[in-house]
Amino acid sequence: MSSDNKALYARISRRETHSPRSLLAIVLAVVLIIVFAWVGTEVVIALLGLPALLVAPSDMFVSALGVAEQPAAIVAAAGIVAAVIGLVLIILSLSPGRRARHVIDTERAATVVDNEVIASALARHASYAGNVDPDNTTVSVSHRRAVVDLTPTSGIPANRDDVAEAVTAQLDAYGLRPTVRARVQIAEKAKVGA
Amino acid sequence: MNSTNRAANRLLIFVCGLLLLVVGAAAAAAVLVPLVRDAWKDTSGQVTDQVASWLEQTQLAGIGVSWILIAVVALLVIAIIVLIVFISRQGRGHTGIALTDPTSEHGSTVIESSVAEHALKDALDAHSEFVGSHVSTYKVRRTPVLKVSVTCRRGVSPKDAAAIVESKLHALDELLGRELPALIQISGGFRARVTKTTRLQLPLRKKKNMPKPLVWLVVIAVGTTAYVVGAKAGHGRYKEISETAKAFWNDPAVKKARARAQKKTQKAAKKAVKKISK
Repeated sequence: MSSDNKALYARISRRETHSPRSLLAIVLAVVLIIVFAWVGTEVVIALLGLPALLVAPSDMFVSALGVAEQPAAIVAAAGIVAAVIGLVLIILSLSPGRRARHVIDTERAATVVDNEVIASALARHASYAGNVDPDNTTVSVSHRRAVVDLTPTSGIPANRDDVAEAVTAQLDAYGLRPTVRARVQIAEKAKVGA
Repeated sequence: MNSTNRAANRLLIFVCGLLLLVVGAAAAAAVLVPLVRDAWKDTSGQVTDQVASWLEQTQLAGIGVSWILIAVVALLVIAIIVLIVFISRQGRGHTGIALTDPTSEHGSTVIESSVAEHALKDALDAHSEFVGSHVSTYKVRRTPVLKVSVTCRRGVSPKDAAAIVESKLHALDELLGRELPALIQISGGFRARVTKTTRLQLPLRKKKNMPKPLVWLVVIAVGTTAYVVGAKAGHGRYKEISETAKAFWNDPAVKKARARAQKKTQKAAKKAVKKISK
């Protein structure tokens, strides 16, 4: 891999593992377009001296300034809701927006893999190592942690160390970035069947 | 992979959030905090007078309309155009050309990306590890990059999946005589945990392509206009329209045309029946 491709792959991997926030941006843009179009239409209609569609621009202006005279409860509630939405938007715009994906070290290409696939593969190996039905194995993979939950079959004990070893070996083999640590939990009550 | 300007997305969200936060907090403070409330009342009168005097001073001679309002409309139109461009720029970056050889004395060579895409897809579909695959080409920093998305069956190791795709990529490199940068995206179709024993593996539903944002925009615009017009016009207008439609339907000339059309279709149907029964 040339150094030129390395920078390219780093950029692609970063973009593929983080959300572009496109949906939210498009929704906001559409809302803004609708509001702007409406206000513009109202102003033009007012300039032409025709009756307003919904609210005349002068009324908009006056009621916006006279917000202190309106019923306090309604204005306060609306203001607080708007402020909270605003705060959420600011947090969303600044937070990294990680997707549930990991980068795998590969030689030829940049590779990203969904956490779901990692969990699925770990579940297969864990159920094999623990001698447990695959459908009684639950794995959830997050950014830095994989939690393996096993419910053994009645009468067949599952060895926690074997499962942990198998899962860790698998995780090491994948070479995930960032690295994922496994935690194995074996249910105390076994059950029969799936 | 696409060329969406993510900084612009985040900037728009941030500005909208800041605006909402400031306006909402100001409105809440204006009614809840007595100090702010008094100050608000004092200034609001001044602001009204100031704006009124501005509008007076800026009246255009001929029409008696302030140019400030016209400027406001112009600004709104510009803002709308900018936002439409912003929306239409999302998710771009596809390219149809994978390789361009510089012109030599014998001419130049252009390899379309569909060559690489079809070759890879054919090779990948033969593998039972994958439920499906999709190959597309994007331009990243002016370099065409292949994006190979594969959907794995349950329990397939991501390392194995990556190795399979990489082997296909190496084969493609030999075919093209050049190494195309590539992204492998491995996703899964099956939940790691299934509540009942799985006997049958259902194929994954394919993700439908989202309609382009512009389509949504048009739909929303038309819907809004229709709603506003409808709300303004009210029931009286609806009756008028339906009366006009009824009058047109029952118009003698239209009736005649309808009868003629009916006859013609009946004749054609008879002919068709004859031909078929022969």
